[in-house]
Amino acid sequence: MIIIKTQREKLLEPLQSVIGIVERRHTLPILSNVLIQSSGNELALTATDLEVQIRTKTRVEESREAQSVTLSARKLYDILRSLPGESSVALESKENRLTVKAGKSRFSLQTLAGQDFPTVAASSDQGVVLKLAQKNLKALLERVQYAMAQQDVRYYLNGTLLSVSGSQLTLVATDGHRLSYTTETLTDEYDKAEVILPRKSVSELIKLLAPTDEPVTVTLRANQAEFVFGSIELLSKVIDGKFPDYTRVIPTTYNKHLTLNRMDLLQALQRAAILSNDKIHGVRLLLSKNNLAVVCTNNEQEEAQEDLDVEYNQEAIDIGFNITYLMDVMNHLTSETVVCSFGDANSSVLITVPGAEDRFKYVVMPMRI
Amino acid sequence: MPPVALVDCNNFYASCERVFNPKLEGKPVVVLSNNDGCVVARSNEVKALGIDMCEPWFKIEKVARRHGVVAFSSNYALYGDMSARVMGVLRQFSPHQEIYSIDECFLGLSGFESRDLTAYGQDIRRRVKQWTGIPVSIGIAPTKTLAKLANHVAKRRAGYAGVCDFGALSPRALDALLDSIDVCEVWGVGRKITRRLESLNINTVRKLKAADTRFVRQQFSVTLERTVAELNGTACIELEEEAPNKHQIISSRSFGKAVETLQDLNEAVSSYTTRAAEKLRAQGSVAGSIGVYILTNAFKPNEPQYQPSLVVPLVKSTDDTRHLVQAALHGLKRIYKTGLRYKKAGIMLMGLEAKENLPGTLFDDPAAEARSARLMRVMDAINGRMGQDTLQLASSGIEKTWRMRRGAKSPNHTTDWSDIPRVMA
Repeated sequence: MIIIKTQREKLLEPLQSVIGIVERRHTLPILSNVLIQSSGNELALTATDLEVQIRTKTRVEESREAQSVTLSARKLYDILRSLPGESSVALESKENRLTVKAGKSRFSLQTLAGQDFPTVAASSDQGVVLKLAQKNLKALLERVQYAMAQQDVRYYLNGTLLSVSGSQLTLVATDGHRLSYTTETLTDEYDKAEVILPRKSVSELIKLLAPTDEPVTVTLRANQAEFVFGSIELLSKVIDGKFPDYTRVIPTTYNKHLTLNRMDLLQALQRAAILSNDKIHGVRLLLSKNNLAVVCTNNEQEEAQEDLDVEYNQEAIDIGFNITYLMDVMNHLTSETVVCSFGDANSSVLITVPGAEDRFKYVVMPMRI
Repeated sequence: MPPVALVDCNNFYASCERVFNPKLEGKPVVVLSNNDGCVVARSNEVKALGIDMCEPWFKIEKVARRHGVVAFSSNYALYGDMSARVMGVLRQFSPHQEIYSIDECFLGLSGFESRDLTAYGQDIRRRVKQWTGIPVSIGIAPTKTLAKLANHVAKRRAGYAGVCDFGALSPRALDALLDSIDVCEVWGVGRKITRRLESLNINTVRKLKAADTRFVRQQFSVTLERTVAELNGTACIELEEEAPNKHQIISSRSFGKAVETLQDLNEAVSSYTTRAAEKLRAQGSVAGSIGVYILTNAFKPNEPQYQPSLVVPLVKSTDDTRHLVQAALHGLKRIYKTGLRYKKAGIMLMGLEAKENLPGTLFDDPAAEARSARLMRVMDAINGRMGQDTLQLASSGIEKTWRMRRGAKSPNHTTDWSDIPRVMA
């Protein structure tokens, strides 16, 4: 029975969208599969790791009766990718086999029954539904994502906080050593809602959201977040936990400010990092009258120093940081300049963007070097 | 190549027992492992009786007693302190010292090349013996691996009076000597490698020395290739003068009797964690996670067996006994099963970092951390002055009925005020 007959690209593109979450190592064998459902003119592909589920819907020319089958996502993807462009591809299923036919190629693959695939349904809870341009959500996520913790015992840090209140959409990520915060004013007002979106969902969204004005509909529910955009529906579990009180750690009273060209600082950091200690990645910032020295030393007593001309005539500062935390933020910002605000040598530094001080904040704890 | 000396204490634990008990001189002495399980140290007289290392004590006790063997439970407080004294004396003989184990150390002898090193070795022996009472043997050679072998010769062969300098031998004499030593005596050649080398007809040190390095690397490893180079006088293993801080700290002990209740296990795990935390603070580190494990007695195959373990990660690396004990007990509760007879418990501190390098986090509570540091300082100070466990957590228990047997332990002559030996004239 033919499930679908179409151009290679028509199948490859949606498969590419879902394959990112298919785990290579999995507990349930069926999780390495993709669910293919056809019904009428619609073809739906679904993949899941039980935490995130991505579903794409495509319209196809020929109408077919309802069918569903699952097979190895990776193998189907590799086959489609290696076929010549513009090939016409047909998938035919027979008992527990599926045959991919294209030109003179034939591949016979194992399948598992479609009804065994563990799809997650959107929960009945209405939640808070908001709408914004895809490119905006993408930019917001990109601006904070790198500060998320990785496999931390504090499981609630292994994700990004999405919080909506009135017309403000706020995203926060932290690993306990640094914190990134960004907020955007939406056109409409919404009820208050908050979820912690797991790491994997965040990175998939960044990958899949298009840099366009096309809208994405976001539904925040008590235990689920749903993102619908283009032909994609991404349904994610949320982390059940309490995100720490981030407002407490964002400094508000610092009065030593330093404006820097972002690329100059980034490049100085990148060069100095060559001689930073492999284990603790420390960098020393020595700020004196109109000069910022970026200094790295390693275990072999080698030293790199980069001097930057700056406008600064306040108290001298000598403070150490993990250099990757500074490079991360400089890499992910797009502005020409950044502002660093300091307290004393034991307190955190606050990094903001001139003209958008309220919309983006990055806080890093210092380290002793 | 500047010469290296390996100084090794003879029958160290047995010698320590003799220092404060001179009437044991010339008598067979053994020291037993924790819980008086196996023989872990033997005086020469015991070796002559044919009692092997690691022999279970209960099997040989009767025969041994008949031969007048005196047995001691291990007294690590005494051995540790005596070791520190020996190492202290040795430090006066060279600015380059690597303490390799409780009873061995390497001394770098660069700058001493022009001296008669055998005579220098005898000076060292004499002073260590006179100042600490511990007899030592010394091997001197251009590399650490050769120094180990020289030490083996100094200790085992007659005619060297406890000091052997390979540098004083002609190449031919050295080769003849190496030909008379089994390959298994080489540092880094264990039982498995010995067996494989012997199957290749490399059964003496000299044959290993002459082996083709490329072949050795192909068939074995780069480590053994290094050993071959060292045997040929090329130093590949450097002197590690600064003892690196430990990467993990393990504290485990067998119980004096089988333990069944969670309460008793809690006390034991709490005590072991307390001990490990003291060591952690002494080296200025903090731990990122703590592993806990319990074991049933594998020597009782009729009883149900269970050997679970669990690693509990900590939110923030710490050296606070209270936080570590809390995490360990949490882990223990998760792995504990009722109805089993446990033989041993242990904990392991992992992910150690220097406390001073620990970066602060955004959600710290500096006041609580300062309080914790103060409390731990006070606890360590009191226990340092008044004796271990003067101040302890209640979870460590008071009676400690699970404690191991150490019936025949000698007094802590050097580390406890009440055990200082008295001399009567």
